[in-house]
Amino acid sequence: MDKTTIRILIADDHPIFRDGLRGLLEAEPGFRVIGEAADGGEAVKLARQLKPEILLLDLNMPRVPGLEALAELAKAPTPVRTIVLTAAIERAQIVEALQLGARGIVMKESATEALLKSIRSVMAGQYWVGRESVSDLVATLRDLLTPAGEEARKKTFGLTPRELEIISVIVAGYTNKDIAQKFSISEQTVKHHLTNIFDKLGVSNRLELALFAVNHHLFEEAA
Amino acid sequence: MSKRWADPSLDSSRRAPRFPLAMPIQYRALEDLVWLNGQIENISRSGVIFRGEKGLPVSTTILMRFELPAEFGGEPGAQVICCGEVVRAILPPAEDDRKVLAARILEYTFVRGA
Repeated sequence: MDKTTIRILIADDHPIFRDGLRGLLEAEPGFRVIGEAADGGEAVKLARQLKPEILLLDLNMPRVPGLEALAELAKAPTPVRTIVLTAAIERAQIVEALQLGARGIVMKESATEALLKSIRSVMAGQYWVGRESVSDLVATLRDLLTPAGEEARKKTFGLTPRELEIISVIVAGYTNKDIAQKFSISEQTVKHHLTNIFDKLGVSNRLELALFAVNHHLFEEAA
Repeated sequence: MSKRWADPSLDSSRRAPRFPLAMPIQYRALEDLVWLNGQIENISRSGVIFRGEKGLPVSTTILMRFELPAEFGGEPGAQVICCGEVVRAILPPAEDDRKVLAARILEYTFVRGA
């Protein structure tokens, strides 16, 4: 066998899927499937025996699930490069899989080309998450671990509830005087809020603010 | 009604971000009386690109109006009325296709409760 051939082990509990995947991989120059496992336990055993360069590991398998197999494989001094190949995965499972040493996460619905690219990227020392190669795993994990509240903060660009209210009435066509009356504040305070809003959003005038707000549905955040 | 002036000088230092807001727009040359219908393709603080039922020559002073697709507390989005200038008119490939017009926004006004 050519030294450049990538030796692959497939672990999935569906034989038809394994057959199909083997056919796809072996149709590609430089790939060879050296074994198949039907559950996590078998995957661990075969990975130790056959020492593949890549393990394609399903998460949802009977007896020993994929994440347990991954944890077991991580104990080896030189763990096999594992790409989780799954039909469904939650954000927390992606994090766990990466923390357990997975080098890639690929959805089964992905195009074949994405799977081939992920294998090549992982062989080149990169990580693969979703649809792209990842060079900074720490940043990826940080993004994945970003709590929902932080997401919401990003969505509202750090605007305060009062600033969001002001944006909403600007989109409705209120003048500064109207806004001051509506919220029982001075026009000077309205101007102060607007200055802060412009700074936070990087907009230059009222029209751009309104367009930005409509484009990002900011008035819905204020409701 | 609030009246504001777009600041064209800003464009020289920073290109205005365009928003891909597909909204209906009405437009007419300043001296015409009949509003024509169009559809915005994208819009920024300083200009708008839209497809319209009739082309206008470059440099025509143009009035445009559109409603902001928003609602807050039962109030609809404002109507924005703009005065500008046609800066580009792109002929469509087929006679029955809508004309693409690009207009610079020189002045705008928000009207409440449109």
